Amino acid sequence: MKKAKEHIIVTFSTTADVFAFDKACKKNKIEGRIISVPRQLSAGCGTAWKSNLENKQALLDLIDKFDLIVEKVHEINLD
Amino acid sequence: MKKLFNKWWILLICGLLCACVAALLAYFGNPKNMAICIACFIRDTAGAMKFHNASAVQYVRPEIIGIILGSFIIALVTKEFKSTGGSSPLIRFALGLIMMIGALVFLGCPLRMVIRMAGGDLNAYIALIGFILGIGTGIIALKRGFSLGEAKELNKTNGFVMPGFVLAILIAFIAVPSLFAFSESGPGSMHAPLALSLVCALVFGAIAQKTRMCFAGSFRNVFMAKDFTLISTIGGLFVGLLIYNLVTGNFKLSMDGQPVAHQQVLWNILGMYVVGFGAVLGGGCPIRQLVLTGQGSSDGAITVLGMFVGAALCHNFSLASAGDAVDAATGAVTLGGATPNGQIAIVICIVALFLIAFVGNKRAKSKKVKAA
Repeated sequence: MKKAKEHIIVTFSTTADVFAFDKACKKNKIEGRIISVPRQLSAGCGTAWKSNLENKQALLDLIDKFDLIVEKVHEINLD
Repeated sequence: MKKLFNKWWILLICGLLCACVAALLAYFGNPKNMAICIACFIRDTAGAMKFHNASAVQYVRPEIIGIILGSFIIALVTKEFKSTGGSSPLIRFALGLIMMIGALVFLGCPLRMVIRMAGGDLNAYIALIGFILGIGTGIIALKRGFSLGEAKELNKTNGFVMPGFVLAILIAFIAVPSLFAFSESGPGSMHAPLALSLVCALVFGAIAQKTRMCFAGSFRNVFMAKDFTLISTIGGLFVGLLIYNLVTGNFKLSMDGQPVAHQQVLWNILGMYVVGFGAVLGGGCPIRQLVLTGQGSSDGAITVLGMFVGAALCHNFSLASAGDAVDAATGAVTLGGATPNGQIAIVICIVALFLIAFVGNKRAKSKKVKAA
């Protein structure tokens, strides 16, 4: 049986967008942190933002409300 | 399969493999404490193609060609090849040129810096301070909104141009060597057999692509995200070469007597400060730019072309440092160091980097964030 997806990973086109996103999440008290972008999502050496799946809707609402610049929101299991 | 490359111990093993490749090249003839140096080897290739006439450093380095082609082949096979570009190309060209100046003032790229550290070269440890400070400055710029803009997907043929070009250079080098210049003495005359260099570099390039090897990116992710994943590859490379040097008696912990190196503390620090700062702004260190070029990134290719031109400028305008030299007959040491032109160039490069980083080049802003 496949393990349920546990994480939300937000990827970005530029590194500056990661900092802006992280700042917005901290201001709006959404738990998460900057990580190296997981290898299965990108061949780039950049950074992404990780949170738990339970925060997905809050993140989507935040992105929509403040028109935050993201590349994509992924649901994956990092284990 | 790709998930494997998230594991730090897999990346460590890949770093150890890269160390084996580098050790092979050093054992079979590449310059000591150099093995693979992206800056030096781009410079040597520029010399062989007669873009400069410094006779001691002229040889088409198959390593540069092999890393690009190794990345290209593995990216194609694993469907990660993507033709992209259009992200501030001329600024990237300038960053490549600037990184090359910094590297040739220090006498090595970040890869060579780590190779020298593994050989006991204390000058490289000192330069690491500058490299880290440069990365830190770049991170501050990123936090303040620095961005060169998003790369767009381009017509597929764009991504094939640089791999095709370097392959053509290789074919010409093999078929018509008289077209090129060859050093008869000095670092350019020291090289492993061509076939070995090429095969080793193809392997190195493929590993670098899969592991996302990037010296600047590794430290950047440690500082930004406290993420030690990417730096595991660098750790493996360092440990592997340290073991090789200790076992073969090539380890010498000192500042003096190090091959192709100088002992000027300030210029070693500033040279690598320029490289670290430029690498963060440009999205990757010199080896990463080669790998990106192979993956189809025109932005990476433009940066590599900037490094190529920078290498030619360094020798045409006497910007490159001189290493300490030992007279074989008398044993007398002539201390090397940064040239006056090189020192001026470093100051100009630092000013240019600050202008690029903090004046203009901001990310497109979202609406102002309000607290909930």
